[in-house]
Amino acid sequence: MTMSVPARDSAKRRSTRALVALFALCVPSSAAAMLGGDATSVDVDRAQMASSLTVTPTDAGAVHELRLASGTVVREYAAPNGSVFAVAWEGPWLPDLRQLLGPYFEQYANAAQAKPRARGPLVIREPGLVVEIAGHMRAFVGRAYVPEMVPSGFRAETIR
Amino acid sequence: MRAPGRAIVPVVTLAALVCVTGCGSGGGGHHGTTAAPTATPRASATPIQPTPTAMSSNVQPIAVDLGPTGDYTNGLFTSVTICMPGDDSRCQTIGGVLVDTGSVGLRILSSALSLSLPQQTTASGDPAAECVPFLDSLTWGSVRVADVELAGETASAIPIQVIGDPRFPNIPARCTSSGLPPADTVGTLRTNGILGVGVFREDCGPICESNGAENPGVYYACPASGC
Repeated sequence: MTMSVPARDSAKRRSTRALVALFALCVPSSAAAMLGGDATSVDVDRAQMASSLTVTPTDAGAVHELRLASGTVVREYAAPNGSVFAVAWEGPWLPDLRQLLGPYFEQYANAAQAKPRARGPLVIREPGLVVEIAGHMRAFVGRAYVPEMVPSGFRAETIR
Repeated sequence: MRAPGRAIVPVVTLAALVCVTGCGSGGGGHHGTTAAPTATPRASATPIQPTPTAMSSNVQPIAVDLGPTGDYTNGLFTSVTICMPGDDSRCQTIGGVLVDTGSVGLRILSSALSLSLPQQTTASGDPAAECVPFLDSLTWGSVRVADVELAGETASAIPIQVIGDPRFPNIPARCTSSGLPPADTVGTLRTNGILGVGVFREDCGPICESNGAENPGVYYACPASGC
């Protein structure tokens, strides 16, 4: 079953945002992030990044698909317990990875900083974090996941 | 979270330089960008500069070599002549510029540039700067105006990016939200510039002219108070 939640109406979006903000105040751990967060962090991301949301239940939990105003599509993979173990994106520009990777952003940025730069695909494989970015200007693809959080039986290569 | 209308410039986009040689021709034939590859594989680590010898008009010489740092692999390099807008007596030819089919527009490293090119301004008169993600790094720097000569033809007064312009040392948080490290020296960029040859006329296009949430944060207005 697919549930679509278009965020077109600005008044509705404002009230949603207010609700989400209130909820985020009550659950501070979910407010910061995405990767590693729980399902409520998806709503926070939607409010922050001004997008619509489609939720598709799967055998391994659910995929939350956010369509950003910039045209970039973000998919967040939640395990049956609701924790977001992977995020993926594709579109003309990169999403806000500080928002999307949350507590994993610093590890990612430090790893990217340490690599020699060649304007080629970025591949980071570290204990606790995998990040891959490819494509080119106006057509980027990428994904990030926490290997330890991936549900057993789920194939990481299907994250896209 | 952000104030797109404040920081992001709904104006200029770098023009696709492929238009210097082929725009409006309808494609095909000898109007396209024809290049003469002069691949010279060598074991030496000595930097090999392209030798730009135009064989005929409308030909831009390119070479596969190790680039200005002498360690670039699988890179295609060329030389680009840039001039002060409207003044072909004040020009500079910059070699070791990467030919990049994955981007659009011309970007020159500030440290390789001796000309003091005029600053591109926004509609409100503020200096414009640009932030471009390149997969494993980003380029940040001012947008300036230049005449660009390629293949014996000139694109007059087009915007180019000056990477690592010391006039704008502070990279906006919106730009660094990609987490990518800036490449703003020859050691980190590993070329003297990037000549993007792509299918688009502009590097960002209409979405960068918007004031809404859809603006991807590529162009920035940089008044004295900061970008």
